This record gives sequence, structure tokens and C-alpha cells, in this order.
Amino acid sequence: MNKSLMGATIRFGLLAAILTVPGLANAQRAPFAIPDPDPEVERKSFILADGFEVNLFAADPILAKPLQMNFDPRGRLWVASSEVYPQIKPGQVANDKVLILEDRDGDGKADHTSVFAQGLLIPTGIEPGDGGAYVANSTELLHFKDTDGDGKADQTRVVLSGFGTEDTHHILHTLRWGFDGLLYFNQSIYIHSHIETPHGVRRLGGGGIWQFRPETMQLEVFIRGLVNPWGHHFNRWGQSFATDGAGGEGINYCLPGAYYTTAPDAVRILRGLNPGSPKDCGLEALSGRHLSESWRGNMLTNDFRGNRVCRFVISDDGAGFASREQAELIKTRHVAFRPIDVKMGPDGAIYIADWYNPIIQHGEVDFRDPRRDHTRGRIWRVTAKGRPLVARPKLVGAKTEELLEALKAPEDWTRQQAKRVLKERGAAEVIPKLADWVKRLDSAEPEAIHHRLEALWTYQSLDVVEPDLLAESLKSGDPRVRAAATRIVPWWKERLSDPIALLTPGVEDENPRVRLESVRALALVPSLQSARIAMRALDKPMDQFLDYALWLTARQLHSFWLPEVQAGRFDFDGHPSRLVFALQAVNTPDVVKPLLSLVEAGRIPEDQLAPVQTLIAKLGDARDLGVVYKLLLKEGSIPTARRASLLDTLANASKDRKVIPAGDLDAIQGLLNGSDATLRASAARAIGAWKIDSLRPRLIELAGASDTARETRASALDALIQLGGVESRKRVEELAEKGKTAQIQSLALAALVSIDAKAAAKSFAAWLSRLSAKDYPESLNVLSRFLERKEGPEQLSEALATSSLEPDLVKVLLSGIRGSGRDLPLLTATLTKVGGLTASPRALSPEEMSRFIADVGRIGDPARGEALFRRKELTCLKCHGIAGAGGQVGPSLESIGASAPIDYLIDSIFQPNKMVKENYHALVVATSDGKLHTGIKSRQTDSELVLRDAEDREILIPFSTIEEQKPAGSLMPAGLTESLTREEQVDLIRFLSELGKVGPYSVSKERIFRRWQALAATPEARKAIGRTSLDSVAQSGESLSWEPVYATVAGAVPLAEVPEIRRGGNAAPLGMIRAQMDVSSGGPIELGFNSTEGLTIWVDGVRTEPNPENMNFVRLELKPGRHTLTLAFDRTRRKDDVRCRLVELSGSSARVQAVLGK
Amino acid sequence: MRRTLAIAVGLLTLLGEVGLYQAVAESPTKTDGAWSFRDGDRVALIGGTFIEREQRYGYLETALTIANPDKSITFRNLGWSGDTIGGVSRSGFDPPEAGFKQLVDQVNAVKPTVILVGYGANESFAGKAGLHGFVKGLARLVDALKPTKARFIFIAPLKQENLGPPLPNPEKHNRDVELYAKAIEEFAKRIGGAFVDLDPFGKEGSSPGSIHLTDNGVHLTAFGYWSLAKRLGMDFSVDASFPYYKTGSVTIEDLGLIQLARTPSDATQMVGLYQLSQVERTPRGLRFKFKSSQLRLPVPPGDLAKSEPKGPHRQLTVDSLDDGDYRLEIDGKTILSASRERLAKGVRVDGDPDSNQVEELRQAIIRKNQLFFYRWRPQNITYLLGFRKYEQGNNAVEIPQFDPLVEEQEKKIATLKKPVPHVYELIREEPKGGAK
Repeated sequence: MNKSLMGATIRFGLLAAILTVPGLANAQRAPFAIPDPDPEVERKSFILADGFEVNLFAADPILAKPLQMNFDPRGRLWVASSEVYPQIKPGQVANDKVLILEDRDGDGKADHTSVFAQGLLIPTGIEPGDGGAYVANSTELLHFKDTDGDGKADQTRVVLSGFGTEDTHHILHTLRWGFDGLLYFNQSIYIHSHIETPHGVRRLGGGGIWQFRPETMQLEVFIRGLVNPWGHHFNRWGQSFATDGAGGEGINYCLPGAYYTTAPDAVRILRGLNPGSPKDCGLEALSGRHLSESWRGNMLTNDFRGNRVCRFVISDDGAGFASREQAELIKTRHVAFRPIDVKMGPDGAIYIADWYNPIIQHGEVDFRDPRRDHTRGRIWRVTAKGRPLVARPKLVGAKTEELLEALKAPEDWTRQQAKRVLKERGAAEVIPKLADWVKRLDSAEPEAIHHRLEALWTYQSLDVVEPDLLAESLKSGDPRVRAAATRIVPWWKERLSDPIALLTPGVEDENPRVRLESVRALALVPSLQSARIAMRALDKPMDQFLDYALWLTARQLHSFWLPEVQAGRFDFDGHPSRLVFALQAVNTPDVVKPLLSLVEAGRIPEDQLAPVQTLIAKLGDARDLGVVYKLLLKEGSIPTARRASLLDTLANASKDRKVIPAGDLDAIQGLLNGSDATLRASAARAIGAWKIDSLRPRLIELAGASDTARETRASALDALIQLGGVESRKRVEELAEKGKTAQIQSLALAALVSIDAKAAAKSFAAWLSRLSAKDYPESLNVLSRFLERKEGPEQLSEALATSSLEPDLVKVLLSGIRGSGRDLPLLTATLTKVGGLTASPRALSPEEMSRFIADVGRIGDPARGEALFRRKELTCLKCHGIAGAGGQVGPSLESIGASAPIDYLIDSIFQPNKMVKENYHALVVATSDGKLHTGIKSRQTDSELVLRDAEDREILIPFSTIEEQKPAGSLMPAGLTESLTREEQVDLIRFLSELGKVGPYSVSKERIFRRWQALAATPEARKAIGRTSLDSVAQSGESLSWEPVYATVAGAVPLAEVPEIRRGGNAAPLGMIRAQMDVSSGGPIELGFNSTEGLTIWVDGVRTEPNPENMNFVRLELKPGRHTLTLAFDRTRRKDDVRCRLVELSGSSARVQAVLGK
Repeated sequence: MRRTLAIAVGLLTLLGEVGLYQAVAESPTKTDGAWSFRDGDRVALIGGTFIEREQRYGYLETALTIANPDKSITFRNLGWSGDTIGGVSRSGFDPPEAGFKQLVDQVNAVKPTVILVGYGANESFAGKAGLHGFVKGLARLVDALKPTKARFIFIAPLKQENLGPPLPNPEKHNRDVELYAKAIEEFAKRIGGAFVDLDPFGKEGSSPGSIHLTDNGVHLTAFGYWSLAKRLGMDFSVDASFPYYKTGSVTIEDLGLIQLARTPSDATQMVGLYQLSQVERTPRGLRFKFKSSQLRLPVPPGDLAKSEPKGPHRQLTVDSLDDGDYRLEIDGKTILSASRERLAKGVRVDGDPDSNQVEELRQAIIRKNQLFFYRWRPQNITYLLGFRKYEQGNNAVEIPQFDPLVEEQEKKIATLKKPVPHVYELIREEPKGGAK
């Protein structure tokens, strides 16, 4: 064990001693120590950001299990709390509460508590307002009123009902008044809500944020998706952000109307701004004089798994935003600190609701787990040391003129609450004074622009149209005001003379965010004219956010413009790029004809050509397909790789939709004889799909020739079977029996499975028994074909029952079964038996479990555990990422240790199906060709379901071919860790249990390159390095093979894991790694290394030198797009592991993200 | 010497609602005039928010329960917000069309003998274009539920109440609701089911009384349900009418001999309403036994009861008493004090045991519904019975544990819905401090 790690362990030991009360009643069952519930013990465990201190504002017993909190304009803190969560017990009377906590003397501690409402069932949201408070109460949104002023609700009104309750940590939550006077509230992924309003029924099945105006009962969906959007807040200019308690992408910018991860019916989604982040709960924008300048405008959220209150800095990134994580406000190893909400208070301090529970979640941990806490809860108050607090504003009872002056306050809290009071005071009282206030605003005042925006929002809040101030704001010198004003237009559309005309200039505004808001606002004033105007945005530079916004608008308005285009009456004013963009966005067969005529007229802009061709090939009829077919036949017309993929699309069209291109199909022979193996394979597939009988002899020839590439051979064999007939079958059977190599035999056997699985199973069994050891991997070619058929595993099991196979061969086959993600007990048992292996160990007994847990804490070594985790044979990283680097099939693990009890970790590894993280359930899809596909649902397009399989590949399944879908368990194969010794298993669990806890295994906020690829030590690589220069390898590495290598949790790439490339002569062996970064806004940035000693650095193949003044940094000037960083090192000179991070320069416009994933 | 004593016990109507009452009185439409509940009936209620939210207040169910005190009738509320005749709100994680099977399964699971169908309000937003599909949906549902052999009651969708801006003007939409209501009525006639139109709003969506029945145009408030409950009770009472609002008097002409005389107005109804027995003079007043044949609806909810002095209440009129001030004791508990003169004119009796009993009954109904809701639509269904049941499905053992709790409340309801006799006693107060 190295020194620093030892230090960490000792620290942990000390902390544990402080936090633990020995002999607690349920400690027996507890796999971890239940901490001492004394709030002071918890407070002392907090590690705060420099310059801050924390005090206890309120705690149990007056407060149990806070779920959400919000201040009212009097400065009282309202808290929704639930002791019933996660599930009401038979006979239990639901008596959850809404509390009001008051600090009357201003000493930072609650001195008065009252129970405002009770008798509630898991109230997950609270927002005071309208003479009482709105409360989320499971299926209902209630409004409670206190008419006699005794601090207790005496009237209850059901405002909305019909919210789903499929999961009690998903139910209606995160109530919040918007800057616009609307009430926003959220729901999570499993919730299906069906809400009746006087405007009709509104439905949302899945996560999302609702937008609601209580007095008009207008209810709309603001954004759709996110797994657990437990945080939502807006910045000073009215731009919304959300956090996700399961999505793992940090701060999400809420583009109005957009779809995010897991959104139902999402065809295309927007991603979060911090991919690879832990999961968060709550969100607040910081503001006001109590905090120092560098903290204002920052956002706070809570990594409740990792016991941290996190801080993010948000900045502009084109039409959207970038977000960067900073050092935490609070972190601790106290396992019961569960910050779930954060709010700024009337005094300018930060308030944090601490749900206080060693157990979180109820999906994975038993509802009735005795370790669950039901009675405690804390509110913490964080203040900046030595800085004066803000005087608590008196708003209720203030004169209207004073309230209007409060709209100038630097504290968001004051402005927001003043607007609430104004709203409740009503238009008749406020409007005349508001108009007067606006008139008297001094435009020389530096903040005058913002004051006018607040005034505009006050009008919106009171639902009084003010066309002049709106028009003036749309022309403001500040783009943030123009953007905010744009969003108001659709809300007033019926009462404005020409809303589209008001939105028109914004589409071509010089500021990208104004363009984005204009494009989105036009979708809410639906008409042909809106579509026509919106597409003008394409004339200005686009970015990912604008592209998404315009795509959404084109789709939403398609019923207005598409029929006009089809009728030949409309073409977006003769701009092909606009028309093509819009047609592509719609992506239905209706758009094929208009696109094709553009293709034939040669009017498709160059950069849109490729996707248009694919779209036509995918959705067109025989004639349409014929045009694409003709095009790809011509050599040099389009790049070879594209020809192959277009050909595949055409072949699939005949498989999925029975459409065959019109034209001379025999001409495909030319492609079959070409030099590119991929194109040849595609041609063979097409021949099979189109049943071109005349080419059968050529296929037979290719299938059997020894120099045919594997890919082409496999396609040729399958195509032969597809062509059908006795001749084909006979030839394939011959190859299966007597083919020159094991590869030929196995691919032929694989092809035979599709026509006669029973016979093929028998031949396969016989073939296996004579297979030589070096060819064992070829057996997987055949196995996979059986596994993708419904009856396949059973048939195979039957054929193998009487065999006797080499144990090593059986191990290869078992690994193939694991990789399929399917649970196949019968076939597994048969193989285990015929290979003479022993069966998998049974589940741990309770005694074994507690011994195991004890050993994890006692002797588990996290460093050894990490090395095991990274071991290729264990395939952990194939499916699981840490901070975004690694596979995406399984849940990301960066905070698993801080969130999951150890028994959960053990169960998850030994019995993967026992508990499955939400959103990670596999789906088994049966298609009309008799095949089964298993994977995690990744998304769906208009016509296809997209699964991610156990190999982390995307599988596209057309809806038209789906016969049945069934949820399955985990994709994680059982028995992955069987090859490990018990000590190793203990180390591995210890490593996982440390992930995300304060210490060496929490992910750094530095923007480290975590996903690398290393040049594989192949003969080709050696040859390329020997014959050409390193520069040319760095420039054109594509033809060589690279394998993934990920940074450790600490961020370094271990050199020992990078393949050694030996060079001729005396040259020292070499290693080469590369990583990628996406630039969304261009400009200067720096790369920071632990050291550049012994490194040769290329960016996009160009040699790049470290800064002369500080050799650990490399300065770059990057344009938008993807860039590749390549590093080579001489293995004798470079000794340190490589750690490299992105450093954004202050003042630079550059926004860069390291590319993550597999 | 013979003295004539008249005691009148009755209810006064809330003046503001006379209009409502009249609007109601003329319209209960039953395709089958002889429709009535049978002993042992199990009623499944299905529909959208109108049905679902009823369980929160229990007024409709209370009305039907007290209207049939001698029959055992139980109710299972299966309403679901936003639902349509195809069961779309019930589809959960499955595609919308899967909701229909859920709807049928849920109804079958409660083994109904009567199915009360309350759809059409949500569908009506599709206007005329959606009407055909809706009627087909009705037929499909009735067909799918045929194996239950249950009788059907169809409730017409309520129109929207016009609450003025900023809420939408419902006139146009209400014409569509009317179309749907008519289609339901015709359908009911065709299949021989009962049809009830409780809708209190006209095309314009105007409220029948001075108090609004909804707070957003589409959803009844507690008062709204209470108002409709009166009508529903009338439709399904043991008698053809449900005389909550009738007043009358009963004259006792002779001590020891109870003679029920018909007053010119509506004594027919009154005869069935209560029994007086064991009327006797006592040294200091009068004692008699009083038993209602049916409980009355609870007092209207919320502030209305407090703030409306003329809200429905029981009134006691006794003449021919000796001079003096009297206190009324019911079952030994003092309820009020009044002079002979006031008693002769009639005094309002609040907090009598029947009123308390009916409120207790309503609370038992609400609690029963809540327990049943936890039973049939438990939270966390994803883990208990859905695709994550292999994780926390062990907790599903708790769900059937609600059954005995529901039964316990049913027993309570069965007892509470039957009126019991109470002893009323008027006792002359001793003059305070001095001689008379």
C-alpha cells in the first residue's frame, strides 16, 4: 500500500470512530455503522469551502425527513416532510406534514415551528403562495389556505390531480415559482400523469417539468425527460437549468420544449452540460451581497449519494451554456448527510435541507429495511465568514411603490419574493404604479436594463399585456433581455397584433441565444409563416443547441408546411438548405419525394447530401431506392465507406419493408468484385436480400476461397442461404464439413442455423468435439446464432447433452453466453456438465454475508481492488464508466460507494438480477424474423427502437418488425467474479465501496481526459512506425488498431497498461495513446499535464510543443468541432503515468469537453 | 282535560338553493323507472376525475348508502383521472391501448353486480369528430364486461361551469358535452341500462345557485359533490323521492295515542321519514322516542354550514307546553334551550345524533375508499407488481393486508347507515334564583 493511501485509511478510521455509536440496536443487521445522530457530530464532520461556516438552523425532533423547502415573502421557511416514505403500511394513517420554520429574532436559528398542514401522504413538494401553500401530495397538487391567520391550514383545494405514483421517489416534486409568475413542478421517469383541465387533458408518461398558471388552469409540459429531475432553477435572465438525481450529466440547460434522456417518444435528445458527473438533487442560483463576487451566479446542487454540496460555474456557449464543476461547498464522510435541497434565504445565507438517512432509495433497498431513518432531518445554514448578512427585507405589508423598488435588489431572493407579493396584490393595484415606475427608471443606471426586464416579467406575472415595453425589450441592447422578451411573445399571442412579426428579427439576431428563443417561440405561434421565418436561422452560424431548437420547430410545425411542399406550393423561399433541413427533421416517408426531386435537380447542399441519401434509402419506395442504388454503383461518386453503408440501408429496406430498388440489380456484381472488403460484404448481403440468383456461383466461390476476408465470407455464406435452394444448402454444408479452415467451417455452420437449427446444432456439437484449441474462439460465430433465436439455446442444449467437451472450450462458450446478456440456465447447466466444470456458487448465507462485509472493512484494499476492476478479463469497464469514461451499458459508478450499502454492492455483483438500477433493465425484443434482441432501451426514432446491447453496441430495430417486447433483468452476467479469489473479491468490493466517498476515490472536479485509446501492438503498428514517421501515425492512425484504456479514478493513464510497441534495432520500445475533445465555441485553451517529460504531443496530427514558460502546459487555439490529442512516449524516458486535463483560460470564449464513453 | 300537542320535526331548505332544487327536481331521467338497488349489490364506479375525486368527499356514496338503509350495498371506486372509455389512464408503462384490458381487469376484480359508468367528459374535447369512436368505445366496454352480468348505470358527463375570465368560456365546449351526454343516453336506452343526468349546468355553464359548484369549471368542489348527492339520492332512494327538503309537521293529538295525521302539503313522504313513539308527559315536560327511517345527508361542507343560518337542519316544533324555558336533551345530552314560545314556533336543532351519525358514516366511507385505493392502486407499483418486482416484490405481501381493513370499514358503514332510536326530552328549567 502506498503512503498516501495509508493516510487516507487512517483518516477514515478516525472519522469512523467519531461517527459511530457502538451497540446501536440495529447495528447487528447493519453492514455499516449507523452514525451518532447528534447534529453537532454531523456538523463537525463537514469540510467546508474556504471562507464559509455552517450552523444548524433546525433539526429533529421538530423536523423529520424534509423533502423540499421554500421560503415565503415573510422569510419563513416552509418544509414538506414525510415519515411514511417509501410506502404506507397497512393500517398506518398517512400523517405527513408541512411545517413552517421561523427565525423571528434573526439569529440564524429557527425559533418558531408550526404544523401548517398534516394528514398528507408523502408530500414531495411545497411552495408557499396565493394565500397559503401549494403541496404535492402523491396523486394531487393541493392548495392549502390559512384564512384565519393562525398558522394552520383551514381550507384545502385540489388544484390538479392524476399524477402517477409508480415510484414514490418519482412523484410530483420540485415545486417552484418562475420568474414569469408560473408555477413549475417536476415528475420523474416512471410517472404517468393524466391531468384534466378546463382546456383538455394533459398527459406526461415519464420525466419532465410542467408549467402551470393557476388562475387560468393552463398546464403545459416545459421540457420532457431526465430520469429524476430533482432540481430546477433559473438564472437572473430567466434561463432555466435542471439537475438529475439519476442521469449523471450534472447541470442540464432547459431549452424550451426540448427532450432529454429517457423522455418518452424522444427521437433526439439534448444532453447535460457535465457528462460523467455524479447525480444531483436540488438546484439554486447564488446571488446577493453576502456572497463574494466569485460565488455570485454560481449554481449549487447536492450530490446526496456522495454526501456533498456541489458548486458549478455556468457560462455562455453559443446559443446554450457550458457548466464547470468547482470545489464543493460542503463535503463529508458522514454517511447520513443527505443534502437534498438548497435555497438562498432572506438574509443572503445558503440553506441546505438534509434528509439525514444512512439508506437512500427504495428500489434497491427493502422498503422495510430497519436501517432506514424515519424521524430525523436537519436544515443547515451556511454563511460567508466575516461578510455582513443582508438585512431581511420587509415585503409583506410594504407599499406597492416599495415593492417595485425591491425589484432592483441585487438578491434574487428579494426580487423574486417582491414579484410574488405584487402578483398577489393584483393588477388593479399594481399596474398603474408599475407603469409609473417604469417611466421613472433612470436609464443611466447601470442595472436599468435588468430593472426593465423585471418590470416586463411583472406584467407577465399579472397576465397584463404591455406591448410597448415588450417591443422595446425585443430591441434591447442586451441580448439577454432580447432572449427573455422573446419567450414572452407566445404567452400573449392572442392579445398582440402581429406576434410573428415581433419574432421575425430575432431569427437573424446577431446573438445565437436570441435566435434560439425566436425559433422556439415561433413553434408556439403555429402557422406556415412561422415555419418560413424560423428556417431563416440557417443563414447564420449554427451550433448544437440552435440545431436542436430548429429541428424541433421544423417538426412541430410540419403539418403547416409539409403539405404545402408536397403540393409544390412552398419551398422555403427557394432556399434548398432550409427545405432540406426541414424535410430531414420530419424523417417520415412523406419527405422522400420532395428530397428526391432536390437530389435529381442537384440542389442538395454538399454537407447535407450524405444524410439525405440515407434517408431516401431508408424510407423511399422502389423507384426512390433505385436512384440511390444507381448512384452508389458508380465508383468515385461517393466515398467507399458511404457506398457500403448505403447499400446496407437498401438491403435492410428489403428485409424490413420488402422494398427492392428499381434498376439493373445484376450490376451489383461489379461491387462484389471490388477491392474493399466492407463494400464486398455489403454487396453480398444485398444479393441475398434481393435474391439475385445469377450471382450464386460467384458467392459460392467467395465463400470457399481462402483469401476472402472474414467479413465478406460471412456475408457471402448468409447470402447463399438467403438465396435458398438445394444447391446453396449443399455447398454451405460442404464448407461446414470440409472447409479449409475452422473459420470457414464455423461461418458456414453459423449460416446453416437459420434454415435448420436442429440439424445445425447436431453438426455444431460434432464439430466442437474435434475443434483444436487455437480455434476455440471461432466457436462463438456459431454460438451467437443460436443465442439470437428463441428456440436456439434449447436446441443447442439438447444436441450437446451427450457430448464431452474440453473444459477450456466450454469456458469460451460460457463467456459467449454471458456476453449475450441473456439468462440461459439450461444451456449453461448443460455446458457446465459436458465440460466437467463445477456449478456457480450459491448466494451467500446471512452469516457469510456479514463475514464478507466485515472483511471488506477490515482487510479490503481499494488500490488492489481498482487494479482488479481495470483488469481486462473482468470486463467491468466494458459496461460501466467512471465519470463518463468506460462503457455505457451499465450504471456509471463514480458515486456508487457513497450511495449503496455494502450488502447491495455484494448482491449486485454476485446476483446481478437481484437489484437493478432504474433505467438499466434490459428489454428482450422478438422480431418477425424469429430473432431475439436483448439490450437496454437507449432511445427510439420515428420508426425504430434503439437498444444498447451487452457489447455496448446500438441495435436498431424497426417498429414494423417487432412482435413482442418484454422487460428482462440485468444485462450484467452472473459469475463474472468467479475467477477471483475471495481476497480479491473483498478488495474489489472495497474499491467500489470507496467510490464517491470523500478521499482518494472521489472523482476530481478537474476536467481530466479519462477516455483514451492506446495503439495496439500489432505487426501493422510496428510496420507503420518502422517504415514511416511517428508523425504520419499520429496523422492517420485510422488504419491501425487502437484499444480502449481509461484513466484511473485519480485521473492517470497507467503506462503499464499501454501496449509496448517494439521497434527495430536499438530503438527503445514505444507507447502511443490518444484522446479526443469536442469544441463547441472556439478560442484559446490549455492542456495541463502532470508533466510533459518524455512526451511527444500532436493535436490533429500537428506536432505541438509545451509552453516555454511552464512546460506542464500546452496552449492551443481551437476551432469548433472534434479534435484529437495524440501522445507518444519512449518507454525508457517516460516513467510517470500520464495525467492530462483541460484548462479553460479566463476570458477565453472557448468551450471544450473531453470526449467520454467507451 | 285533553290537550293538543303538536310536534313537528323536519328540515328547512337552504333558501339559496331553491333554484337548484327545482332544476334538479324536474330532470332525473331513468330509462327504467323501476330501477333500484338490490340487496347484496356491489357497485363498481368507473370514469375520470369526477368519479375518482368523489372518494375524497364521499357525498355521492353516502347519499346512495343512506337511501338504501335496509339493503347491503358496497361500493368500489375505480375512477382514474384523465381516463377515457378506452382506459387510457390505466395503461401505465404499456402503450395507451393496453389501458382497456386494465380497466376490464380492474372492474372484474371487484366482482360487481352494478357498474356505474362515468365517461365522456374527457372525450368531449375531441368534439363531434370523436363522438363515433366514443360510442364504439361504450359498446366495446359493455361487451367486455358482459360476463360480469352486472347492471349498468350511465352518468352523463358534467358540463363546464362558467366562472368567467380568466378561465375559458365553456359555451362552445358545453355543446359538445351535450352531444356526448345524448349519445350516452341513447346507448343506455339501447342496452337497457339506467341513465342519470346530474348535470347542474346549462349550455352556458351557469351555476344553479348562488354558490359555485366547481373551482375551475370542470371539477366539483366538496360543495359541488354535496349538491349533486342530493339528486343522486333522490334517484336511487327506497321511495321514488328522497325527501331531504320536504318540511311537514306531525300532530299528536292525544297523549298516549300517537296519531300520524297527514298535513295538506306532503305528509306522505313524512310518514316514511320517522317514527315517534312513547310520547309521554313528564312532571317537567315531555319525552318521546324518535327514530328516522333514513338518515339525511350530512350538512353542507366547509364554511357553508357555519355561515348559512338557513342551511338544512332539523327543526323541532312543539306547542301546548306549559309556560317556561325548556332545555332539550337527546339521549341525556343537552342540545339547546328555548322558551315555550320559541318551541311553538319551531327551533333549529343542530348536532342531533342523526347528523353526527351520518357524518361518521361519511368519514367511514372516505376511510374505506382510501384503504381500497391503497389496495388496488398502491404506490410503488413498479416495485411491488411491475417490472421491478423481483427487487422489492417481497413487499407486495403487504398489499392484500389492506383487505381486512377495508372489510372492517364496510362493517362500520353497514351499522352506521341504519338510523337508531333516540330519546328526546324537553325539561322545564327551574326559574333561577327567585319565585315566579
